[in-house]
Amino acid sequence: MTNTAVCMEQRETTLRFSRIKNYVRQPHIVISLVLLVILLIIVILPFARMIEDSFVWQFADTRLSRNAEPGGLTLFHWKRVFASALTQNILYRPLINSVSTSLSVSLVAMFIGSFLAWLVSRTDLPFKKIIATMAVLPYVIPSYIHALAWLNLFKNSRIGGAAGVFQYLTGITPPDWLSYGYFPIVVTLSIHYFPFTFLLVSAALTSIDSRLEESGEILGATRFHILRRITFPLVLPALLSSFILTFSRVLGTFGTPYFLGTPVRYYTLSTQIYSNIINRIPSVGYILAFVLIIISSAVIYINQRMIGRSKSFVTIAGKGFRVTETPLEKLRYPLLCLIGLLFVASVILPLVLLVWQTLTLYPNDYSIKHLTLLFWIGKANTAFAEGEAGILRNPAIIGAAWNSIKLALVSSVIAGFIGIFIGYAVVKGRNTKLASAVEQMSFLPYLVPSIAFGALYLALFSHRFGPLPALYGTFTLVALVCIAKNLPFTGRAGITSMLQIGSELEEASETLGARWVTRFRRIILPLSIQGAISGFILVFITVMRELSLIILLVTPETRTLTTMTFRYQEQGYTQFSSAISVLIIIIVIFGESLSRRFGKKNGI
Amino acid sequence: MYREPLLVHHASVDALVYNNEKMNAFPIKSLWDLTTDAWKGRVIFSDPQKMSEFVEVLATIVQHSDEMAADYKRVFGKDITLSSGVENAGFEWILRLLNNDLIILGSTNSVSEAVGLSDQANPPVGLTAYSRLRDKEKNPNLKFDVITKLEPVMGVATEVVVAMVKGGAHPNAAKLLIHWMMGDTKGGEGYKPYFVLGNFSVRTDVPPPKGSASLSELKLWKADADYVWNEGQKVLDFWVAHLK
Repeated sequence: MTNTAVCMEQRETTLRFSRIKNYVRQPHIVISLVLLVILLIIVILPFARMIEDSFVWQFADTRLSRNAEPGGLTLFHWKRVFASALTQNILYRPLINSVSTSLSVSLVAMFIGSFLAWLVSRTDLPFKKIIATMAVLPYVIPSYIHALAWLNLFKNSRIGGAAGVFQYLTGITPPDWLSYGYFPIVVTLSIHYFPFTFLLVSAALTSIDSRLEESGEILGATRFHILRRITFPLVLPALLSSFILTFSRVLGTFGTPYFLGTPVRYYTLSTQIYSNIINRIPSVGYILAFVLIIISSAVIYINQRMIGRSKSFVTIAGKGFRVTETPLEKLRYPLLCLIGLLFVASVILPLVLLVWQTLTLYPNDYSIKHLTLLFWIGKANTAFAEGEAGILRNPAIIGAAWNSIKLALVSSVIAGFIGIFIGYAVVKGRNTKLASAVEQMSFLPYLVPSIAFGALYLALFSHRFGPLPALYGTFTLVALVCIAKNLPFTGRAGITSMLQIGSELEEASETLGARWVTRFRRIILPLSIQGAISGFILVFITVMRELSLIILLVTPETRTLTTMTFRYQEQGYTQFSSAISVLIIIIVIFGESLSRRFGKKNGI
Repeated sequence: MYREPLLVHHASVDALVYNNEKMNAFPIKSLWDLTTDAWKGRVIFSDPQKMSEFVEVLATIVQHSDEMAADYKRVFGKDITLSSGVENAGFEWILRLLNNDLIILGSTNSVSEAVGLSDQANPPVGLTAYSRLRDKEKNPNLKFDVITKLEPVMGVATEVVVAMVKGGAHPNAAKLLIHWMMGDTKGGEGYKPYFVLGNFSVRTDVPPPKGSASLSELKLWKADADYVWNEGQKVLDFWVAHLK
């Protein structure tokens, strides 16, 4: 080998080395790498661990099988789910129920939401502004509260002993199909989720120039033809996204099917996951969670394909734009009444029923002479509800309220900050493989239905795993699951707000010699924080009313208001569960109005 | 007795309750009556999938399947014919009950309320904790009582044990706590929460609460911890597989 060759090789090595050094010196690369590690731990690892656990004998399995050797490999759990005497009742029936409720809710919610959106954005309906504001309220109320309200109203004497308000007032016993199972689950969840479609479709409709439709009219198309060939294709992407949003949420919902389904043995995958895990057959719960993730991913995949295939149209152009209002004529006031009814059924009635329930001395005894404030401010008295004090002076409930607020604050701030970093890493590194890996991985929790996500975390953190401590029973774990589950939303918000910040701002300060930390602190953070604040508050509200995600992970010390509601309801202390629900709604509405104020200030 | 292998704190009984306002006598005489047409959709159970004490109840009935078969013969005058794939008269009883439109509720509290607040002319009966009788003092609207005379047994007794976790920081404090919880001859502050109808102290020097029968007077089967550990899951699986 000649000297020159060695020299060349050395030079090449130093060059390559300095290239790597330069590459790593770019702050967004470092951030991306750190984010990838974090995402690997909080998203990928739980999934791997869950699959692993399903193939391993657990200690509790010694009750199930003589062959069980804790720690050894086995196909036992998979056989139990897919090929045993139980398959019909723990897999097939719940699967059918899960898919049919999710589909029905999505369709009904899409219908109500898009019809309302059309009325508000395209017609001469009176009070449109107020209606648009109120249409979001059903979503602010935690979904299982609609279920509790339904029970207060339609509970029948066949199953519950004391009947609900409906029977109390009319003397008519509601039939089982009305009180429990498929029908009430679909109705209450549709009422809860239609605001998704409403928001997305009204945004799409207001960006469509009416002249597109009018030109169709001039060319002699019928109204139906215009709706089918012009309006519908234009709002189709919004409809498809709202479908998927609703479908995957309903699939992972636990509270509503649990309260309304179990009295008539109507089980869903989410309730089966819960019941297998509390019966200490967690591996079976994990497999069911896996099934849920597969369904949800498949539906999202098909949906993305459909959005991709449907033609996209530019509807916002730099020309004149106007929206013509369709006159409703005779239908104006009947439709207004219909909307009023919807609002009463979805917001006012549940709230009134809940508050009324909190004031009854004996469950379901609605007479005026038995009204009381005992469950709000009463002292602990063994004559009632096992001696629990009214919720405003009950240390356990006040502790849970602080836990809820702390959890919501911690997870919204941390998820929000990680979101900003995701935004920075993705936008700075646009078109690189690393950036798109970060983007896609932060989106993964979205595919996993809430209850299954909780199961993933239970699998990973119930035992010590390598350097990861056993976090079960700690506040950290509950916060971690809330942060991870909300990353798709804060990440998206981070990317959007980062796209709006021109790179020349950062480049200018870089030329002036500012270090990255200074640039981030003095330029990027102040510019993106405003957009992020409304994101923080959205996460705050979501976590405040979260039940499905955390129900498998909370312990008495980390209990929140939502899980307390669940426990009281399960034990039959409806006054307490209703009173805590009212407390949650008050806190959430307070947070919501706070977010509106911030939103206004920042011109969002 | 009651000290090995673990110290028993008290015995608790799960039994059937009926609405004593609408009915002036015990409505059933045998556990097998519940599987007849007259009780279709009128029997309420506490969910064994949620409360493991009811797995103990079901497993104990399966364990005593011979007595169940004998009682079947006494009631119906012929030998029991088991459905295909069903092992014994205990399982058969569970199966027939489930097929008789059994109603399953999530807590012992809701079972006793369903029975005690029923406004139907033909109120249901329910399997729940004997100690739910204490709720009657709190809610005068509740009208139910325990069916104390029933064949082959009126209920199943389960033992509530106390134990110390191995390696705890303060074992002597734990012993002191247990001693306090066991109560004394006057009842004692530590035993007070358990001093209710339907719970039975294992101490011979603690008298039963007012109005309570003593454990020996009641015709019961005692849950066998070993049997429940080994067979309980099989019984629960049978239950889950036959839910419709």
